[in-house]
Amino acid sequence: MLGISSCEEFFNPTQGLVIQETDFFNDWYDYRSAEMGLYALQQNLAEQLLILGELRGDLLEVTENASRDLIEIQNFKISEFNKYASSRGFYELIAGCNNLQRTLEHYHPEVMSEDGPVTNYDRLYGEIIVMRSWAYFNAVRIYGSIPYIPISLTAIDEIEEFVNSPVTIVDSFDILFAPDGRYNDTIFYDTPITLTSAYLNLDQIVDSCTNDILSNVKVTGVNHYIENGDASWEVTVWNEYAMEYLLGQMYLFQGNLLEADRHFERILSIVDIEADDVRYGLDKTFSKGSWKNILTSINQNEHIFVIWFGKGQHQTNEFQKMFSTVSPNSYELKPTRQAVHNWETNWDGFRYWYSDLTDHSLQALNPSNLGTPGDIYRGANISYAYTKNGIPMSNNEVMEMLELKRDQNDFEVEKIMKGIDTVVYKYTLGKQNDPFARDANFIVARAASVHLYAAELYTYFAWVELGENYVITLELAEQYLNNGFYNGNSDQLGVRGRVGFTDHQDEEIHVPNIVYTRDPFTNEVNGYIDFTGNLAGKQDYLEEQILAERARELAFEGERFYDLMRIAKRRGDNTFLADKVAEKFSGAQAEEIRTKLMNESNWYLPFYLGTAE
Amino acid sequence: MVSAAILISVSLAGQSEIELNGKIFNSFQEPLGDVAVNYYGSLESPVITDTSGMFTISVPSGEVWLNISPVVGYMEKQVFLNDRKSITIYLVENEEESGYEELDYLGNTYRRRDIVSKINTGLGGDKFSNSYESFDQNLQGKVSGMYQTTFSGMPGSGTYMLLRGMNSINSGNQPLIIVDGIPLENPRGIHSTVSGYTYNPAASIDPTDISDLSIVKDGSALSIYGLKGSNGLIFIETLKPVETNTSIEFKYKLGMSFTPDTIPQLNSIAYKTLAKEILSSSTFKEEEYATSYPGLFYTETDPEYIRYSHNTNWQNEIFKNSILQDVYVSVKGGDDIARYGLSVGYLGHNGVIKNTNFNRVSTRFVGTFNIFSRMRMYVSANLVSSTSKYKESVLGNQTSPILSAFHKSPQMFPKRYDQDNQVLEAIDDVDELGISNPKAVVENYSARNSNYRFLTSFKVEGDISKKVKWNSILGLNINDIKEQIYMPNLGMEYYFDKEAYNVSQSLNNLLFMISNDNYLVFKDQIDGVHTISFRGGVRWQTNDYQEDLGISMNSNENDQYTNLGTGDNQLEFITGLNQKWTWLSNYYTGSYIYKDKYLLDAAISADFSSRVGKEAEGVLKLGGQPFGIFYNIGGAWRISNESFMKDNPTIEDLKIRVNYGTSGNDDIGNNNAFKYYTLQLYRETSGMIPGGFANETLKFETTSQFSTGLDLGIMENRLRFSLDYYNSRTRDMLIFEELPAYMGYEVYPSNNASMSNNGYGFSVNSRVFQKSKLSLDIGISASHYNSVITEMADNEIITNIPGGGQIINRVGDQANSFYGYEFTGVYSSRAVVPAGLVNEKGIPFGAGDAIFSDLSGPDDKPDNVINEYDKIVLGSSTPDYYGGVFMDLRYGRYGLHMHWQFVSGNEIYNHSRYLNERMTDLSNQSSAVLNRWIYDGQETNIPRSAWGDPVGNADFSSRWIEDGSHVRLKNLTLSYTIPEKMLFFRDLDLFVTGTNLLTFSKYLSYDPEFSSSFDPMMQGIDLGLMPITRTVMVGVKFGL
Repeated sequence: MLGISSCEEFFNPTQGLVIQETDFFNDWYDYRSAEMGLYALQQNLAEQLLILGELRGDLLEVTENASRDLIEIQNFKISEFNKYASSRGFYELIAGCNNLQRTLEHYHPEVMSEDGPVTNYDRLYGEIIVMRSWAYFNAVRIYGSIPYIPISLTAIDEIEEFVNSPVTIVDSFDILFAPDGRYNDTIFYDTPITLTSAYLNLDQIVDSCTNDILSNVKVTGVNHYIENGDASWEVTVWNEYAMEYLLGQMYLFQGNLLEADRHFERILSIVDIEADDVRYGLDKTFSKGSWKNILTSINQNEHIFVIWFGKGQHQTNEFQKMFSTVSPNSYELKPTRQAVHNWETNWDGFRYWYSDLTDHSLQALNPSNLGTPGDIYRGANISYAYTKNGIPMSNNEVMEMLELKRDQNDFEVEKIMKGIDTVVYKYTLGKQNDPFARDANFIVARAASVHLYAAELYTYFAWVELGENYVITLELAEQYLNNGFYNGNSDQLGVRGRVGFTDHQDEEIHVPNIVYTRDPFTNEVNGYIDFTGNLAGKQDYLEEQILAERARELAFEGERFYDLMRIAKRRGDNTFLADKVAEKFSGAQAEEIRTKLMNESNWYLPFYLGTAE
Repeated sequence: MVSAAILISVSLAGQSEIELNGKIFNSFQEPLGDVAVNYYGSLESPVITDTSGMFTISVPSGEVWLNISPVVGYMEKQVFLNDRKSITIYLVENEEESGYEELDYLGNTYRRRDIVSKINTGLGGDKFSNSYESFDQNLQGKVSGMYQTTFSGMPGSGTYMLLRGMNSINSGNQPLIIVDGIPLENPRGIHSTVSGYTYNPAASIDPTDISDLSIVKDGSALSIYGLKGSNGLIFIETLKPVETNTSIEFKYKLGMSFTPDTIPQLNSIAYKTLAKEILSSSTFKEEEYATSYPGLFYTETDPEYIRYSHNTNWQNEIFKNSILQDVYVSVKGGDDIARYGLSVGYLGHNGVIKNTNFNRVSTRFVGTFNIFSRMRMYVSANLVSSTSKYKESVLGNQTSPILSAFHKSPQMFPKRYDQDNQVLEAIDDVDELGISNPKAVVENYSARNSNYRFLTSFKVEGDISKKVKWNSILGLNINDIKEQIYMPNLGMEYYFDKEAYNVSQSLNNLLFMISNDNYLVFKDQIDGVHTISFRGGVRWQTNDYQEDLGISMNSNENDQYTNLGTGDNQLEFITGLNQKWTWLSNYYTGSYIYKDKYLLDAAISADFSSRVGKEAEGVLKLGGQPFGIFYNIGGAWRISNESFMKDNPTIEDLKIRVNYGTSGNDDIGNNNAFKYYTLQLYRETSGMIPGGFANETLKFETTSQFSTGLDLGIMENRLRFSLDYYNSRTRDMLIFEELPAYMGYEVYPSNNASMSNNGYGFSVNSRVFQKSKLSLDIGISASHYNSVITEMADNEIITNIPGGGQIINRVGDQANSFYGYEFTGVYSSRAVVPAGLVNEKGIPFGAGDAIFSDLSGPDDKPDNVINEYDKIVLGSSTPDYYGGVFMDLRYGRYGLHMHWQFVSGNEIYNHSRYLNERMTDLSNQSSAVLNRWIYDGQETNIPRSAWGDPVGNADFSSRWIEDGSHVRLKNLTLSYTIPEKMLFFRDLDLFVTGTNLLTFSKYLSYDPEFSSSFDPMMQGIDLGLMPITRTVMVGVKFGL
């Protein structure tokens, strides 16, 4: 009667270019496509992560071109109409992961068992779990507490009911950590906790996600390199190092330094003993003038996980648009004064006089080695730039200006700096001539960050397996920060060493008992701090130095606000964060922001259920 | 013969015969002689009226039907005797509406007055088609209950039609058009990349080809068209060859469309003042902007001065009067076995914006064949090819002629100068102010559209018994639309966020639709008092729609290569779509009439649509497939045939109709009910992501309509009055519900909304006057509707519309209301600004800024911040009432036809005025901004100018909402028929006709009538489309 080929086809016509789920998941390539789709969803998050991680911190601020949404974020006054306030992107990824995990478990149940040879399905399964944990972890850092959706739930009403009903979670890891990362007295194992609804806080999310990864992931990271012939594929998917990084980072934020160390150590350890190859040791690949290549290339010596963008493949982001002054970009965000000072007041090539004075306040710089200001491999024209009508000031001009500053010739400095815009350059680098590029990669994890995390945890981690010797761990921290941990191998440089700040002992950052303080602009020694017998003081000092190094090394990469949060929490001192952030405001607004940020609950965005757009 | 007559008379002898005396008049009380009168079933010869219109006839009982067969010029009539002993019968002239005209309706033949549904008929024919290119334009204001808005003045554009209001906010609202039994596609599915262009399915039918057109607003037809019926139906029959003698018709017309009145813009001096004022409000320093925009500062001594020293009215560069031509030939003829109609037409119409046009070549063949004595075949085949050139609306930005003409600095000149200051032919390139040269927009930008439509139907009708017929219609609709766009480099702003200096774009749409309808019809009249008819059948349709889009940019700076594939491969973009959907319906309808007094009508259908979710609840499942059940029950009571009224000669007809029925709308998206994956790339591979939160329970929308109406014919049917009221309710209305963020998807298609839609319409038609050669007919229609959201998950949904505004759908409000700030004026000085009043960015309001009412805040009270909380409903595009008046005056061979149309109380978002008055960049603006706030204490209602508008003076507010009420002389036609005796051929008509000659409106842009989309939410938003034009044509028509 119907006169068409088949009844089935009439009632369920096949659609082209959108694929119904019932027609999908036939072979490995379908699964891979579905997984690639999840990475595409991650791309959608990059802009939000960067804005929320940096604009709330002390390194980035709005310009007068900024949209309402950006102004709201900077001012910690976030309405439900704000597009950056929406948690939807995270949950789109989470829902996508849940869906693919469920499908995989259904059609390839072998992924759930420990036995059998490792297949690509196993690797895929691992990626999904790690990726989802990353989404949850980032979301909880932003919102403070968020729903954790079990993968078994699919229907809207099921999920709604679950999220809004009280739940009891049995927290097998509910441990409160002391600042040194060791167990504190208040330890509860397997304590059932009743929550009014299924919103978990950071601690609970970290417990759930680490548990999920540790118990379900046997392997992660499909090696697409085999098919694609492009080695950068390895670090643009959630590989094993990326997983370790995420685990380490989650534990670090929880305060579980022991576990954090364990996972970071897997990234920093020797992978090939014979070749003495430390994959993520900071070697010469990106030293000095090559440092900037970190921003323009993808390389397994530095990059651990990168969200890739490519114009030719129509995968773009708005970074360049928000940062660049060159038409048609809109220059909505710029580096703060403090951000720039972090580089400009980093002095190179100076030496102390080192007399045998007992009055330390009389210590001075050696007149023949007063040093030069600026961080030439990471600062001007690399991480940031001074531009006039879109054209950057040259390095020489910047250097000249800094020298004038050193000589306190403010009048000349002001003259030079007239009409100058300060811009974030990191995402424009290598694309200066193409204002339409819009495809800078977003680095989620790289080696320098792990080194600095390691330095940070060794600062506090006053405990080594061999005994109670805190000095050793502080030195470890210094080594990661300065000249590399791997003394036996000259090829291994520390974070500062890589960019030339360890040519002399004095340029390195150390915490001996006497630490000299210097004027940031003239570099003149203007005092000293005596840490003799004051371990806590040394720890705080070193921690701040590490934080400043993070600001130089990792500025605008989306982590700054969480760095401040982590340290403020570790110290139990909200002023730490509040003061730093308030510094970029002026007048009454600075005070208002400071007051606001003294309250930890204002560090988190409200979890709006929907955006009212 | 004689013996038969005897036998009959013998057999009837036992019955009481009634002697009936009657008189027959025309509607002006003039007696009609020579009219044959007989009764139904009679074997006698009819009796004939005498010169005084009297007749006497013997009838077997008081319950017979009389057949009145008048002389030429009057309509036949059937009258139910209804136990009357004497009777007065009025006949109306052929062109008049009598209600007795026979009508093919849903497969059976009915007298128009016997249809319980509200239908308008007789809208086809070439009576008024002289002046229209698309049949729908002719209907505007004529059909009560049908609200129409012409899309634009672009030749060949159609109208947005709402039959009895709006029944849906996310699905289509357009009535289903059925041509020769084949349902046409939903035009919403045909995509275009030209901003503001709307595909007009009606443009592929030459209006002259239409022989019958009926519009159905309620009743059984809606229910048996089930899932496609809820927005009403338009039935079209083409070239019906009724006669066997060969006739040839030829028509030619030639006309001109006139440019609209231009909108006064600032002249050069006023422009420069404004531009400098805006620059000085920016953060740029004067020496900076003087270098960036030197053109604003040149003096006569500067070598470049001449380039910047003009005073151009750019609107004159884009508009010009344009020519149209229409040729049409048809041949009809045949014999008792085979009859045919064949037509060929050509229409060429240039738009009033330069380089726009619409060219249509159409051919149509219709044939009917009596193959065997019990079997007939109908074939209709239609091949239309049209090619057009378009321009974009103001959303097209750099490529919109209107926007560039508004915004281009009047200092500039369309052409270039050489070194000796001599004008060259070459187009001037873009200056530093950055607006496309309107001359380049009209001359070099091109958007070509070609459309080939092959629409054919093949129908077989067989007699199964005397009363039962079987029909099968097979239809094929192939619609191929190609769009090729080239955006040039020279003289134009850059495109795609300034990345592309030229762009070529190609879009192919191909729809392949097959439909089939098989049904049985039955009709019988029993004992003269029971009339029964029935139709039952199965209809199916399959659709395959394919769309391919390719964009390539920056191919070559010299604009020579306008094809795809030569561009920068980083900027290439290719996408496509292939969708399929099906529809199956099993339907039954029947009607019953008792003694011309009581009419009953019922229908039921079960409809399947492939778009409906397999888990849909509350629907019938057959073999696991979801079916919607729709039904209708209706009745009518002809009061005028009741004993207490039947002898009243003043009231010819009084009928009350009541209908209650349901119908559906499956325009819910092909994929919303299915879990599907869609493409999103990651790196060099294809990624697939879930395409949305599928709702496997998603189903069609159901509209139930209660309607009642009254038809009254008085004064011998000279005055016909019809009043209708309806109340419909759409439940399970498709909305896109906002999901809680943790669902991971923004929206969820659901059926969690309903709306109610009620309204009334009335029409009066009258032959007011008739004396010898002079006659006058007047018709008036007026209607009102109200479409209100009655239920909605989350109570309200706010949708952003292009151009920065918002639309709200909220329970209790009119559907698709505009939503924004209330603008009440301008702060004349600092002193009157409320202290601490800031905008959403925290920027304080000051003197010269807009006054927006601070109505609320996060705590439900005014908070001194103008933001989302202060937005209110600003009205909607739904009119309070609308309608038309038309008039036909005839004197002998002269005819004057006049058609007025009016709309009242609809609100318009004047987006093009927003762009022309916002004063936020260096675009030229309308002369209205001369009243802008400039000095402290100035009382005005136009805020100050401000670079980038930091305070948001130009934000979407009541400032941009205007009343769209208007009255328009839609058509005026004067015609003359040359006497036949002077000719060798049948007749020759000469006519001169004008459309849109007069418009009365307070609207501030070109024209208050426009529509930019079939999307219900996009109505009433003025996107600066080509304005509707005044057109005057002369024509000739003759037949052989």
